[in-house]
Amino acid sequence: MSKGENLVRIVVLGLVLVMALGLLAGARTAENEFVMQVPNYLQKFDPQDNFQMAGFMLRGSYETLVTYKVQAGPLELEPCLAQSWEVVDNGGAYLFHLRPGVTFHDGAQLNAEAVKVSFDRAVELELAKLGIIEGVVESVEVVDELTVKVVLSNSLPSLLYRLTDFQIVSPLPVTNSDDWGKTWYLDNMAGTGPYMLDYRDPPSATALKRFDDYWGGWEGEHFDKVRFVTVTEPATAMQMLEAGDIDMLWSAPVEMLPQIKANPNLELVESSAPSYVTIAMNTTKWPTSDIRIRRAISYALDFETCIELIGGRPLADSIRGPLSESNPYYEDSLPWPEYNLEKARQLLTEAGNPNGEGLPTLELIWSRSWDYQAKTVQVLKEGLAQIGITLEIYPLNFASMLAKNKDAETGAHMSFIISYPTEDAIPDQLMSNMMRSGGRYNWSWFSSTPQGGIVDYLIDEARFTLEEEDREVLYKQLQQIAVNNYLALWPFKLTELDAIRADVKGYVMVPGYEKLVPFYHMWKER
Amino acid sequence: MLSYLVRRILLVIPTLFGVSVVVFVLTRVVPADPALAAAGIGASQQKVEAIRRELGLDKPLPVQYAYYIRDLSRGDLGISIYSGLPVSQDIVRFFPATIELSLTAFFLVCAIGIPLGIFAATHHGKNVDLVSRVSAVGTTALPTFWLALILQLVFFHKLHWFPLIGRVTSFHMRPEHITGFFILDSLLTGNWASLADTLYHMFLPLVALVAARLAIVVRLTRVCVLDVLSLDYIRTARAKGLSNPRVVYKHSLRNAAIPILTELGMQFSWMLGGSAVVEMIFVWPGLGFYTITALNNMDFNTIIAFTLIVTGLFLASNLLVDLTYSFLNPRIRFE
Repeated sequence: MSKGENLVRIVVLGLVLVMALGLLAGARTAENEFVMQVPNYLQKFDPQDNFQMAGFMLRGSYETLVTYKVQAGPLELEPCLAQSWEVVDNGGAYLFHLRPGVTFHDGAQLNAEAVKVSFDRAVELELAKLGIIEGVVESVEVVDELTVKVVLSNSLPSLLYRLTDFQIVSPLPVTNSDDWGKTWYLDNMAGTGPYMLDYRDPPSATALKRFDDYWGGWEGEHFDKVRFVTVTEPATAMQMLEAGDIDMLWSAPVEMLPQIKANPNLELVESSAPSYVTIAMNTTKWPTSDIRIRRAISYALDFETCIELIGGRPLADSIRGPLSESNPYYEDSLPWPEYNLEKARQLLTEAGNPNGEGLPTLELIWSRSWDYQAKTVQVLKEGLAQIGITLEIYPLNFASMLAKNKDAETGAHMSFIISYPTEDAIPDQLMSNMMRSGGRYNWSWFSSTPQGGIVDYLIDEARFTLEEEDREVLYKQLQQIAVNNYLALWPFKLTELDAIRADVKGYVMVPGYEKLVPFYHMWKER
Repeated sequence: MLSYLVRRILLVIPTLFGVSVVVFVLTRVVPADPALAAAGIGASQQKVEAIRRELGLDKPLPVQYAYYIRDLSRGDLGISIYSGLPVSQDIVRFFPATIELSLTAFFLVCAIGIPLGIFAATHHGKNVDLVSRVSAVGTTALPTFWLALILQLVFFHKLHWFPLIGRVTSFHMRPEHITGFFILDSLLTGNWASLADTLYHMFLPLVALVAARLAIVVRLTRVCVLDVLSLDYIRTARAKGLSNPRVVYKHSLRNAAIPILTELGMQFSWMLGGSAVVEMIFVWPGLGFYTITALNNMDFNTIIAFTLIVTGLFLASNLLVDLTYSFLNPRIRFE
């Protein structure tokens, strides 16, 4: 036997030996366990200091006073830790009547004092969730053992929607420490939710196990364990889903939809509230400060091609303005966007820049989160090139986008935004974020222009008015301002899709900004 | 020799200092706001400012650097913006996984690459030599990340022969923590199931890491040994009737070793830094995975710490390689 043949035998034997190790290796998952892929490891476990994408994991462990009903349809509020509530003091305060017999994971009891501690903690430590109540909640008072009063600085009809994102934490780690539980809550969990922390295996996995004393009980079908596995590569995650190593993807990549649809073991779940793609235009920086230029840009965007490239209807569809069509405040007289290069060229000529002469290169910034963003900006770039405008596209991470757009002067001409207009919720936060001065995504800066000075006033009026009719008028006015002044382009809306194993039941895509996976309501078909 | 050693060790300090300045400045001048990134999109402005103050980001750049160097001299690598925990704590947690993977890969590169290279040299011109040259060119050209994805596709997705991600199948398969090196901890605790599971999970990441590096070592060993084998004294040794293994391993390998050793030193450094891509794809919970996450979250302290650690290890491996020269070749003296 030659040395070469010996070598081949050695290699094959080695391979067989290594594969045999697999026989000694452990089994995939515990039974009755739900395994979900997440793109980022959740570093901080403090639900009040967490706006990380992976923060949705904490919703299995922490609950809020009110929550969204687990249904695929319109957003609907329902009681959670608060059994009922009433508006008092002429809209100046809310009384929340707490659910009796609710226990935290560490044994503490839910009462009014515990709720007050949660609110005070967010204020004292200036935690991330302070933004939900800052400037609107003046104080939280204990009325009796199970009644808490939330005093507002002004009437706020959207308070309940805001509170769906404010988790209540156990007071024990807070009172047993010198730092309001700040260090303890980084690494530990103590909420009232159906699942409690089982173990952490950073950065690979976080596992939860059922909390036997959960107030909702365990009758019926429920998962006993929930595990989050960090997988950053979509291709890798897809393979795991197909093999059954995970039960659900964080989100279904558009390019993998045909593969998912063709697999009988997988299912696609649609959201009833799509995400809205928006490209904000800087109304204070030349040339996008000129409304004729903004209109020309709008006419140069081939909306239909964008929709086709994303996957066509019904996955993507046209929109007009920032609000969802099923929102009660939706202005249905708004014009549909139009693709018309002739009109675009005409507007440039009117603006004194025929064929784009004299115009600087425009910059567009976007975060590299989803593939459809890349396709959209390319379509826009090609359209603008046809009318003589050069567009430079800068993919940035989110932190860099925020830094670039910290003010109108340094801000980009155009900025890509994904928004999640809810269907029935009062769109106060959406409008504030996107149009109000100081709004996180107010990257048109229109409110700081002479024409836009009324925007802040309208948003504040809409926020605090108790009259439904007045609110409707105000929000419709805001939409007209946004669309008629071309504060942004609205290329399309995109149906959010989740890919899940077909034997997992009970999952519905609850619409909303933050991902809501109702683990407690799900089970696996045996 | 001792003075040379001391001099080289002392030279590490200004090198690390220079690297720290460059990386520190780069992380501070990029157009990004880590305080905003840390606070999150819905956070209040107060919260953002509080984080900025807490991290010292509101101070002038030279002051920030001075504070950083002061803390570094005490072994304090700062707080991770993303996790809120000390960076040193995170590094201790993730470091063993990277070292275990890199060292194992390095060992394989040496254990397979050098003998294969010698084999190719001693069978120069034959089929096995041709195969080794062609495969060397082929595997060197493969991007590591692409190879990693292909390995997953073939060996997991199609064949179901190997696992896709992670160091072990589940948290409960981990050995009892002693050193953090799963192979070593499994051996020390006699946990054979854990050892098997660890090796089983390590196979594909190792192949991805080793493939391109192996080819370079094989090629270089072949060339160096061939060079030495053509010298007169080797002809004399053969003429005196010495056996082929004795001629190759005792008389020629040592003279061929210096460039091979230099390359191996560089390979080790590459593996430490280059394993990041492999770690991301195989979700191998090592320093590379941790640092890429930190990069995406503008976690400056982590980025600087990782750079300094890799630089330090690179300098150490270079020094070790230099010192072994004098053992291999007594004519080399360090003064």
